[in-house]
This record gives sequence, structure tokens and C-alpha cells, in this order.
Amino acid sequence: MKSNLFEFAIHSLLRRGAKNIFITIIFTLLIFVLSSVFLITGALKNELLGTLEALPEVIVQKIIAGKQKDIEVQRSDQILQIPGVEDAIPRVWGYYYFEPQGANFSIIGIELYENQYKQVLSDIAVQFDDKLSSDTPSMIIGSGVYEALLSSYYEDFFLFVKPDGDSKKVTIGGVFKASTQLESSDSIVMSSELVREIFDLDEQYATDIVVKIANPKEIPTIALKINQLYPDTRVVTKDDIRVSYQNIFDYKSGIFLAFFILAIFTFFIIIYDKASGLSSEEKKEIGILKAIGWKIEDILNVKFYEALIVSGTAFIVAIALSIAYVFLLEAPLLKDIFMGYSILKPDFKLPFTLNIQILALIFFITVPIYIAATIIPSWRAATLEANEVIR
Amino acid sequence: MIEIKKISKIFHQHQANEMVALKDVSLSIQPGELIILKGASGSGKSTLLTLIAALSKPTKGEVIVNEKRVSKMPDNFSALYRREQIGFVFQKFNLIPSLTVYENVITPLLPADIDPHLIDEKACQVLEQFSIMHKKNVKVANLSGGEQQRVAISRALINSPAIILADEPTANLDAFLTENFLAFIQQMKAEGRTIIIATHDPVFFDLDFADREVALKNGQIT
Repeated sequence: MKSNLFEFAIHSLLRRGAKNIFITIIFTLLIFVLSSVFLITGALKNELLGTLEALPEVIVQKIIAGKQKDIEVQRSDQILQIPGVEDAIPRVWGYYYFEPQGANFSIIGIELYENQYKQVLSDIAVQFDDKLSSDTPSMIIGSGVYEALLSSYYEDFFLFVKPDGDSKKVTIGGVFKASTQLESSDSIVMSSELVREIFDLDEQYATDIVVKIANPKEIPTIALKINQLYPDTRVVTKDDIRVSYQNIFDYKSGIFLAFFILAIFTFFIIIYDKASGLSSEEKKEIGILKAIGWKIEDILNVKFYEALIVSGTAFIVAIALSIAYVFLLEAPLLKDIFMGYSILKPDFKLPFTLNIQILALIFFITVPIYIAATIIPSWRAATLEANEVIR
Repeated sequence: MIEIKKISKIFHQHQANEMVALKDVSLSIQPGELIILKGASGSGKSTLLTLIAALSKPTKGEVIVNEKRVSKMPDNFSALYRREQIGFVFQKFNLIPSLTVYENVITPLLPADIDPHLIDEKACQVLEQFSIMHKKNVKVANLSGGEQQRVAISRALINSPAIILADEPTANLDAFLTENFLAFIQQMKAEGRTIIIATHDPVFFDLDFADREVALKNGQIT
């Protein structure tokens, strides 16, 4: 790098300070919008995929008149008889609407000394067994629930309102953290007995049955067999849920695409403006530089440095701002658009995810294009006869 | 040595507005010579200077400077030739208005990647020589015509060129500054530089230190 030319490029940018600051700000904003959207979707996708991994292979639900009903617990024994089924665990769970926050909590019941269908529940069962098995009704809550309860001054306990109108006091035994925010944040874990009491659920019934299958290749066959055994059931496999998540993402991607097109459109307007020609002052300057002995490559070097400084600065600032915006400020406005489905859930923190490929993609669709749009018109002017330009 | 062999320059050739600026001009200039190119406006003086500086190419004929055919040089070589051998004082100065006096003067040296201290030393030397040092940090757009011309001369000389080309150098100068310019030319001549001045200012005619006067009329030597 020729340091004298680099210095000249910096001076040249400063000379047209207002114009270059304006371009840098617009360029920074564009890259900021693009990278923020990419960072949010990347973080959410990671989070959802993590949640998906933690889901059971097969869930059996009872469906009557198209609505999910409680399922008989004894059906789990019958399902366990199907060859290939490793375990069949009835689950007791439901959503509890927490009015002060306008949010739904997931209440999950566990049988302390039985197999759990989720690793996080096994960990909770081991870690908090004294609390969950004590005579005082206790619950272990996710961090999002904890914050929501705290904001309503429930520090040690919460009073659940049962369907008959009576209330049930349950003390907070602990707060747990799981590998993903989505699965842990809105969850409350307590004994199945307590869940049945809060939701007024008969002991003979469960919300659904989770089936563990040793060989994943057998899942479709076993799902079919369960369906044949109980025609009133819906057997939901992990693949079904994956497709459903994908659909959510496809829908969200449409919104993202709108942002993307808007940003790219604005970007190309700037590029078109730059590529469509230099001002007469800029052209004359190139002519003068040639007349006093600058080679075409010297002129292009300066233009390259100028464009690199503007676009490189914009890129670095925009990426830093978008990381701060998404992961420190929790992406106000944009997060609501992408998390539309979760408005009934407590808020959760976007986990830090930085996809280098995505950053590289943003870099390659912005910085080199800007540099090219700066260099090409300068090259056109520099290849003219100097005398023709300065005359 | 500068040899101009039967050069012609036609602008907008084969178009309705075709204009013959030079026609079959031949001229030989020895090293260290001071030549006054005189003639009315439009006689082809400026065009001849731009051809010697390889700022444009002749339509016909060739320009040979120190045995190099500058009229046939590719763009990058002609830029290097100008940087190393030519100091051009343009009629309209052709300074970059948004740069300061100092920045304008050092511009020819920047691509050569010379040590900044040496650049500074050379710049201060020429600025002192042409009494414009006190305006070093002033933007040239804020200077008077005479001051701008001194900046243009400083810029033309910072490379210590062997050939100085000046196009109507006194067009924007008052009598006092014109006298100064003549003194400068005499000094350059004494240093052994080849100088070609295109002018129609009578002050240059019959100069006792000029070697020759060449008159141009309608693109031809008379």
C-alpha cells in the first residue's frame, strides 16, 4: 500500500466531508438493518432447533371432534407392549394464564422417581427432589416466570386459581436454567399430583403420552401401529414439529424478505447514483492529477482506498451496532415482528449467535459492490486524455 | 532534445465541427533552450505544448523527447514521463481548489512514494522560492490570481523537471508579478532547463535571454 496515496485518500474524503458522512450513515443503516435481521433470525433458528432437539420423538394425543382431550393413562401400558417402544410416559401439563403479564406459563408435572422424557426435567428431579417431594407444595420455575412473578411481588410463592375458583398456594423451590431460553423461560415444573389439583385433572387421565423409541427408523411404523391401536389418537412425531417450525420460519422469512428487498433497493439507488457518473469537479480533479504525472493506477488506488474506508467503516460500525442492538438491547421493534407467535409467553433473551457465513454474505453483497461503483466511473474518467478532461 | 516531426492535430475529425489546431508542424529544440511560442489566440500554441507534454496525442506526426517517442507512449508511460521530466504551468493554473497551497504543491510527488520528510523539504523549498510560504495552509480557492500562479509554478517545479512548459503564464498577473515571473524564467534558464513559453503577451517578445521566438498562425509555423 502506498502510504502517501492512502493519506491523500483520507484527505480527499474529508474534503467532501458532508457528502461522505451522509453516504457512510446511509450505508451503515442499510447494513445495520440487514445484519440485525440476519442476527435475529439466526438466533431464533438456533433456539428453536435446540428446543426441537429436546422434544420427545413421539407424542400421542387424544383427539375428539378435532379437539385435544385428556388421554387415559392406562393406554401407556398398551403402547409399551408394541415392539420397539422403549418407554411410554403419560404427561400432565397445561398452560396457566398469568393475567398481570398477559402471558401463558407452561406448567409441567413430573413423577419424581420415574423416567423423565426430557433431560432438563431429569436434572430438575435430581437437583430439586427435596423441594418437590416436601410436604409444602413447591415448584421449580424458569427464569422468565421468575421475573414475571417478581414484577408482581411474588417473591416466594404464587397463588394459583383452580377451575372451581379456590386458590392454591405453591412456594417457589428454585429457578432452573436449560440449554435453550425458549424451553426454559416460561416453564413451571411441579409434581404431577399438584398439576392435577391446579387443573382439576382426574388421576386416570393425562394430557398426552410421550413415547420413546430406541431405533429412529422405526418411528413411522410405530406411529402407525399406535394409530391403529387407538384410532381416536393423533401421533405427533418430531419430524411433524420440525415441519411446523419450518412453516413458522418460512412465514417469518417473508417479512424478512420484505426488509431485505427494501434495504437492497435503497442500496442500489445509491450505487446507481454513484456509478452513473462523477461530478464535473471530480472529473477535472482526475484530469489534473493525470496532467501532473499520476498514472491511472495511482488514481484508481486512491479511489479504492476512499471506497474501502467508507464501506469498511460502515460495515464494521453497522455490524457492531447490530450486535449491540440485537443482543444487548434485545432488538426492540424487530424482535416483536419475528417473535409474533410468542406474545403470550414471557419475554426471553436472544442467545448470542454469530454466523460468520452470514456476515461474509452481507460483506460481499455490500462492500465490493460499493467499491466497484466508486472505481468504475473514476476509471472511465482516468482513461480519457488528460487534456480533454481539464480543457 | 525535443524533436517535433510534422505533427498535426485535428479535433473532432470527420465531424461537422472538425477543427485543425496544428498542421505539419516541425520544430527542434535543444536542451537548455528558451523558446517563446507566439501567436494569436487559437493559433495552436497551447495544443503544441500539450502534445510535447503528452497530454494528448497528435493526429499525425510524432514528438520525440530525449530519443523517446512520447507521442506514441501508452498512458502509464506518458504519466511517468510527465512526472519525471515535465513541469507544466497551465494557463488556468489547474489547481485543485479544495486543497491547500501545500497539498497542491506536493501532489505530483505522492505516487512516487517518497519519504514524507523529503516531500516536506522540497515543498518548503519551492514555496519559499516563490514567496508563497506564508499561505501554505490556505485553500487555493481563497487566493488571488497571482498567488495561484505562484502555487502552480511551485507545483510544476517540485519535481525539478528538465523541461518547463508555460501556457500564457502572465495572463493573470499584474506588471509587478510579471516582472517576477520573468526573473524566475531567467533563473530557470540559468539552471540549464529547457523552457517553452506559449504567449501572446508582448512582454516576452525580444527578451534578451530568450534563444528563439517561434510564431504560429492558423496551426502552422510562419
